[in-house]
Amino acid sequence: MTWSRLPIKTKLILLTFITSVFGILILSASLIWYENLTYRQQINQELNVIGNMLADRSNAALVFGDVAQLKDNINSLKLRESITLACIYDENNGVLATFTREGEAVCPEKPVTTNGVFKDNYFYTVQDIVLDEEVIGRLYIQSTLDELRRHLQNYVATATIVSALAVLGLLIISAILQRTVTTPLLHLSETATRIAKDKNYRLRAELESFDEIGELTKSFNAMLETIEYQNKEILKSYGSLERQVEIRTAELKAANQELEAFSYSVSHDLRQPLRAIDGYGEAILEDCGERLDDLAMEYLGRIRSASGRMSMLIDSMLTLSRVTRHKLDCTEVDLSGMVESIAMELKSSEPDRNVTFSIAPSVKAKGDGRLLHIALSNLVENAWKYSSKKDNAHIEFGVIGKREGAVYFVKDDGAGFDMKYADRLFVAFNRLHTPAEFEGSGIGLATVYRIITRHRGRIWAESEPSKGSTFYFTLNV
Amino acid sequence: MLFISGGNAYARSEYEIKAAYLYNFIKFVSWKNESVEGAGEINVCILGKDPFQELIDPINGKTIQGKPIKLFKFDSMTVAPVCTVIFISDSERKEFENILTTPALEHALTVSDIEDFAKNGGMIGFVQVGNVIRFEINLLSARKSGVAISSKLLELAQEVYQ
Repeated sequence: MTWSRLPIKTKLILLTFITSVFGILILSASLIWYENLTYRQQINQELNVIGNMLADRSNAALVFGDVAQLKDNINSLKLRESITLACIYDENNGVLATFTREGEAVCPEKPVTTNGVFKDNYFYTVQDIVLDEEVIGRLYIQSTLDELRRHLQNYVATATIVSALAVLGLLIISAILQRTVTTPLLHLSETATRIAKDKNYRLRAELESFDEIGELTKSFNAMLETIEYQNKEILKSYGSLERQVEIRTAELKAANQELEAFSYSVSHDLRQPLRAIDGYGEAILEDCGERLDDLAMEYLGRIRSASGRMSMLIDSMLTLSRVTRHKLDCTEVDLSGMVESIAMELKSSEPDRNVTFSIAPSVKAKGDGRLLHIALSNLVENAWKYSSKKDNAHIEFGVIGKREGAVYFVKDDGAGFDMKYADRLFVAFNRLHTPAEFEGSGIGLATVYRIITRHRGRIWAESEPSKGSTFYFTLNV
Repeated sequence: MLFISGGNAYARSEYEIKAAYLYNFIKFVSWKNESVEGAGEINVCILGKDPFQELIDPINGKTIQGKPIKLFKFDSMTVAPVCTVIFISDSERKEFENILTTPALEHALTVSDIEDFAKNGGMIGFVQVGNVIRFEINLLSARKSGVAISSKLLELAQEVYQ
């Protein structure tokens, strides 16, 4: 389990635990070290004092060769239990008297005067026996350090027990005291969790302390206050917004329906009188043709061609309104095939024209076949129409890129247009050329635009006057 | 060094040992009389027939507690100077109690190997215990003369008379 996942409570207790164990360990270690040091110093001092006294007491016995007295003297060391070996030497390092506890220790051969040396597990000191400032012999005293070891063992044991008790006590105290820190935090956290779960922003955290946690609680409550207020505002405006949307949608729907009905009825109802005009015009031509002079014949011709143009206009408007209402029926569509058939029709309608088509093979897309046919017809017909002034025109259909993000294009080398009018291209009844230049309803590109938009695609054009234009579109259904 | 101890010094002659003892006694003795204590030297007198011969000579000129030792040898007390320490030879056996009362020896440490010397008013008397040379001390005589003998020496004495 990682530290960051632990609850604050455990963290606080662990922190206290680690800190106190660390502190107590250092304290105990230094006490033990100091105890060891002072104990050694004490042993050293004690044995030197004993040694000095004994050496001083023994100088007479040594000088008068009283070995019995020397033995008496040295045997007095047995009262000091840690002393295991003591030897009195004459000035030629001859051993005169020995004290041993176990009887196996042997006096060192040539003792060197010292104030105390600690060896692995024993301590020894060698004192000069002096008489009238003259060294007449030496006293060697050796002491085990068992006592020191026992003492230190007891010390360590006591320190361990006391430390353990102290750590335990600290743990209990910190377990109790940590609550004063964690309880307000836990309560705050619980409140926050409950709010996050229930989305009930009317809840408030209780202020339990006046430290940073208290400040946090206050800020938290202030935040809740703001959220609650803003929630209310949002709900209020959301309600009115929805109402407004409803109203607008209804209005828009009504307007749309009206407009569609209007355009439908206009185009439909306009056909009737138009057919009458055209029909009677034809009747005049057939029945009274021979009675009309040339001027009348010319006027009649103009009437008939105008009515024909109007009929075309009405057809285009009907198509546009149908495109808008038509439900999309998406299938896999063979765009190349469509363009080819459109090209064939155009060629047969005007066999005199010299136009080369290059159509990329098997370009397929997903979409509504009928609508896409209308769109491609419009684009290819436009290309056909606007390149009519050229002797050798060239029209191209192709695709850039793969299925998703594929961009289809229809390109011609005809009249082209000025790019500054590009934004007017797809608006109905906006024409960049006069009818005298090129015939047209001004609805074709608006219809294409509608179809592509309904396929959630994009359409745009690039052109230069008299160099031709390219129409690009994407499909996204 | 010549004057060292030697309970085991059987290789050495009796008087060699006694000479060393005599020398070492001085180290454990102090004098209460100021003129003696304050004197610049320690006069060691050998009275009567000298048993040490050249064995005692090396102590002449040695220093104890910073004072040089001067060695004198006499046949008679009448010509003796003020002695700090006097060894009375066995040759004076019959006379020693008189000798001890001479004013010249008022503050002197008296040593002898005359039999029962300590018992009879002398301060330190050599005795033979088996093969070992020991000594007896008459503490009363010492006190009377203002001679303080170290307890360490008393501890070693074969007998202490008080």
